[in-house]
Amino acid sequence: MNSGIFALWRWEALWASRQEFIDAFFVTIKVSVFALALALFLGVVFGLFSSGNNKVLKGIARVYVEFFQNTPLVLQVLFMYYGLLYAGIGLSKEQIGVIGLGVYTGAYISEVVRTGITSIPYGQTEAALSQGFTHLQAMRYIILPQSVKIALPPLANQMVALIKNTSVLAMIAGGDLMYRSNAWASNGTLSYGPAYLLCGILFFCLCFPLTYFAKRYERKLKNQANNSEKEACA
Amino acid sequence: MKKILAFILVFAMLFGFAACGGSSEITTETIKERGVLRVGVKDSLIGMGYLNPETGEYEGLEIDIAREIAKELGVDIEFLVVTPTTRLQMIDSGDIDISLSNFTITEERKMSYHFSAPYYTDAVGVMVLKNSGISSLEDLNGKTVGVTMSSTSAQSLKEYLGEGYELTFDEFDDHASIKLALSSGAVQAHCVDTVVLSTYMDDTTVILEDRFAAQPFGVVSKLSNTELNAYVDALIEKWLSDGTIEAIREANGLLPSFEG
Repeated sequence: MNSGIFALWRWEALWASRQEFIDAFFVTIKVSVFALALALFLGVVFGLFSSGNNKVLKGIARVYVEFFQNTPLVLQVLFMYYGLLYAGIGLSKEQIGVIGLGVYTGAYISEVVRTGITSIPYGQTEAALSQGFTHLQAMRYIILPQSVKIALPPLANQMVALIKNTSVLAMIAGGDLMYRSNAWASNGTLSYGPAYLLCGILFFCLCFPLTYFAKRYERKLKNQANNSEKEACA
Repeated sequence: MKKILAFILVFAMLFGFAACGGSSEITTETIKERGVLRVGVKDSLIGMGYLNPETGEYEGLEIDIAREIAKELGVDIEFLVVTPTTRLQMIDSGDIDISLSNFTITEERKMSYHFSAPYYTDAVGVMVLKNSGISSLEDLNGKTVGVTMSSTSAQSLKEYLGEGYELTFDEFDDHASIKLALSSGAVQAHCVDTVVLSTYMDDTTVILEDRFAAQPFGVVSKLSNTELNAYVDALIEKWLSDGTIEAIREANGLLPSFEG
């Protein structure tokens, strides 16, 4: 029999186990969605903290960002898995995935949000305040609409990174797509070729639309901005 | 249209690589010309394949057999450390010629790789924490069991216990991770070949009495290297019948091969 790593009979074996991969794919999607929600929430909150004027909040945001940006995600997840068990706190692997990835990516997103806000010259805020806007209104109507355009591309990158990072769960037998591919590839007939290729294709299918739509949306916003500038000049 | 074409091209290339990916056949001649036999081994299994940190030397049954093969060929030997998930790719890519790495022979696996006759037969055992209250395999009902990827022990345990048992299996990349998971309580049992368990045994753990499911270990190599495979097979057969392997086993302090 043909023993090539992509031999046809290997694909048949993969097809026979398709349910395992479908289940794992949904675990990855589920963890990604919840982790993304958590990361966006943390990112916006800490992003506002670090771009605001309150020194204490700024300090808290700095510690959070520096801690999670400067330690490896793998270590954080392993700590949550083994360390918390020793402490008697049992979390399910999916919970660890959501919290671990959410908190980690949140640190990056808060930096994206911070740079988005601080890249708008402070003069604009001053101008808005002098026209009678409250601080919140100035944020809502003047600063944030412009920040979104600046923040969107790096934000989409962070989302894609988060989805791909779900693969760290494979280290703690997390039942995610990477774990399932690894496990399937090293069992039975040892047909790792199709398993890893399928894993790559599925991740691509998740991530590519995200980058694609983010790019399109970014272009749309830029066009809008250009048009309104033209109108202003006319 | 251009985009679609580009995609098709990328995929065609991917499969093209895959089709011609296999390196040319490795024979005893190519190994002799090279002057070195490259063997994939384990470095953390006492008695089987172990890199002794005190001497910096490899030792164990698999190491000794590999050295014998290199001696027969009249070449030097190079050991490359493999894990269950890397050895397959290293064999396919030609990075190693053969692997003696605690690799259990199964019919399914023979579809993908060549196996020699078993040079050693181990059995599966289960290790638990002493204070876990688990004293027999029956107590494992409802528990989570740690196994390694690419191991047959999960299947064996299920078959041995039969119907009526609810077990969850978590697959890890290496045994050290399972030991960690066992100590922290993430899994309640560590199920694998006995030689592995004895390496990870300490005074907090105990190995349950039942051993089951013979695990015959064979020399693994690429199916297409027919000449080399026949050569290695003949050597192993010879050493099995003339007692060479039996002597190596005793010298390494391993239990006799399991006969279940």
